[in-house]
Amino acid sequence: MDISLEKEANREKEIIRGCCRGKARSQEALYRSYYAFGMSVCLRYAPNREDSLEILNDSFMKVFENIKSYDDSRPFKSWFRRILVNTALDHYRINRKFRINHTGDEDAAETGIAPELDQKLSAKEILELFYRLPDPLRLTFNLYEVEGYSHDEIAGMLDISPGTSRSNLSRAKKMLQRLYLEMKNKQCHEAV
Amino acid sequence: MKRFDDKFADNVREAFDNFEEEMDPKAWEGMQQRLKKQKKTRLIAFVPIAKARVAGVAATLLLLIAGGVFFLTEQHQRQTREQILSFSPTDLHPAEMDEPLKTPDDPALLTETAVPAPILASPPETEAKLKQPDEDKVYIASIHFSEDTDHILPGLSRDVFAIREEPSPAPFESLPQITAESEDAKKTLQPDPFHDFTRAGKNPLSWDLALGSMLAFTGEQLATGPGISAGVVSRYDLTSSLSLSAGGLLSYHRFELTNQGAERFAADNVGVSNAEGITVEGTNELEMLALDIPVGVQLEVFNSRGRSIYLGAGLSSLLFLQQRFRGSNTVYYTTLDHDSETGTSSIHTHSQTFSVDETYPAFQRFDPGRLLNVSMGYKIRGERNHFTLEPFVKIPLGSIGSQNIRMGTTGISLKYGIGGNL
Repeated sequence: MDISLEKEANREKEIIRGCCRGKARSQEALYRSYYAFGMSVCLRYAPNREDSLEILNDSFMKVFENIKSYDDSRPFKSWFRRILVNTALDHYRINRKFRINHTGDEDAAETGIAPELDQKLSAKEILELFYRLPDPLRLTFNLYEVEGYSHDEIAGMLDISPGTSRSNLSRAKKMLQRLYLEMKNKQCHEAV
Repeated sequence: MKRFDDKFADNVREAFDNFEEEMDPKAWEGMQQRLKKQKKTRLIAFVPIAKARVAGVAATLLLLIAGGVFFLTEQHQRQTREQILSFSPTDLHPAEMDEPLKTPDDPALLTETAVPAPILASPPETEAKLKQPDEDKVYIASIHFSEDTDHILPGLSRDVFAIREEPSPAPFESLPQITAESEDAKKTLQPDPFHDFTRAGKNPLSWDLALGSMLAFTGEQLATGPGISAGVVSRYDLTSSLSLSAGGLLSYHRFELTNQGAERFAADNVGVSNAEGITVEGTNELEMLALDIPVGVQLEVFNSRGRSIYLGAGLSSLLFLQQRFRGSNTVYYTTLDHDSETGTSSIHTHSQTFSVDETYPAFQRFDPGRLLNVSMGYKIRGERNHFTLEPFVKIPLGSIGSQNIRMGTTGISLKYGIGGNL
């Protein structure tokens, strides 16, 4: 193992041991180390930035409360990611409204021709698109395409049927295509 | 060539795998505040709760052992006492009229009220003779003593015999006439010295270590698991049969409530202003640790040979040290929706699922006199202590806790106490 990587791993173990003992300095170190990673997950699931921070802090609270149950033979990042996703889903379940106000625009604006993703989007640009997606569509897209969960698993997580999960994913993709085209047109228009 | 969807998914993964963001200092400040708050709550409430069950089991064992020792000791003492006092007029045998009375003092100083006849003996083995004034007959009561004790009976010191040294106006001849056939003689010779003398100590204050196990209930439900309580109760005897009591007991309950307590959370989750007929269904667990402060009065209705039964009534106030309410619920409601295009109105029924996990800090809630305590106690007195078995019910007079649940309890309390022998 690379010396720097080994040092990093030892440092992380030390921090986690400190967290197990409830040391404030270790907790702060862990928070600082995993803040960006945590935000990268939360931003994709939450409907806005404020909610992302709330989910992140809720997740860290769970980490500090349950750090003793963490199996240090496995990567901390994977364990933390699972907590982040579960917390985001809890957040969604608590805050979701019965009636999802679909505009129906995603289907109406379908062109039938898939656009080409000719340039890589930045995280900021992706979030701009995500924030315009309805919550269930955004969650389904992330859970399926990014995290790799199956539709059956997603159905259990979101308390929906697997068919609804498939439908949500399909609608999310169509809507993302349309939003991407809108964003690209806007950029061209601004450039001109 | 990859489709847009696949490319986009790859783009998302890549962009967020390399996501960098400087930490907002306010984020950590907020986190710190939450951690401090959690530590405070833990210090006050979670530590006792985490160990409440272990402590409850330990206290139960301790109390059962104490109770066992108490009963065994009591049984032994009672047997000894019964042997001492188990003479009846038929056990008495006439003695020689002219045989002098073998008591250390002049029997003329004895009165019938001062010392019961059987106690006329003196250690180590004495024959007390009661002279019949009219017939000049003397009956002998044999009383056996242990040399190594200062007590003829539990709670009765040899000092009692000092009374015989005090001048008494009542002559020996004023003792009631005792014959083998007389029922009065039995009563005179077989009083309940244990009861009478232990109650002559004139200490009105007693302290009880109490341990209870109980089931919580609401109007429709009974908790599936028992709660526990432990604490100290003091008791002040106003008269021989009337007492006042007050105390403090830590009381822990875990109650799985069906379709109760989540109403106020439902309103937050409905999210529409025109919702009507809101009903909530769900199962929520209520966990609470409270300081139960009972104040009451007890009336003794039966008393014999150190055993007594009393009825008690009073009020309990609750100071909550921890409350947690969590569960999953579904709220059902209807809305009257108006379609402006068609000009028609329609009623829609909706449902929505939501989770609750609320923890309330210590001392946030105090419910004064919210429970009516009704109890019946069976008390066994020993020399210097007593043991009480007390079934009770706490009837809710109003709603308690932050969830405003009308909850009572019923169970049994074991008390081991000292003092209090008015």
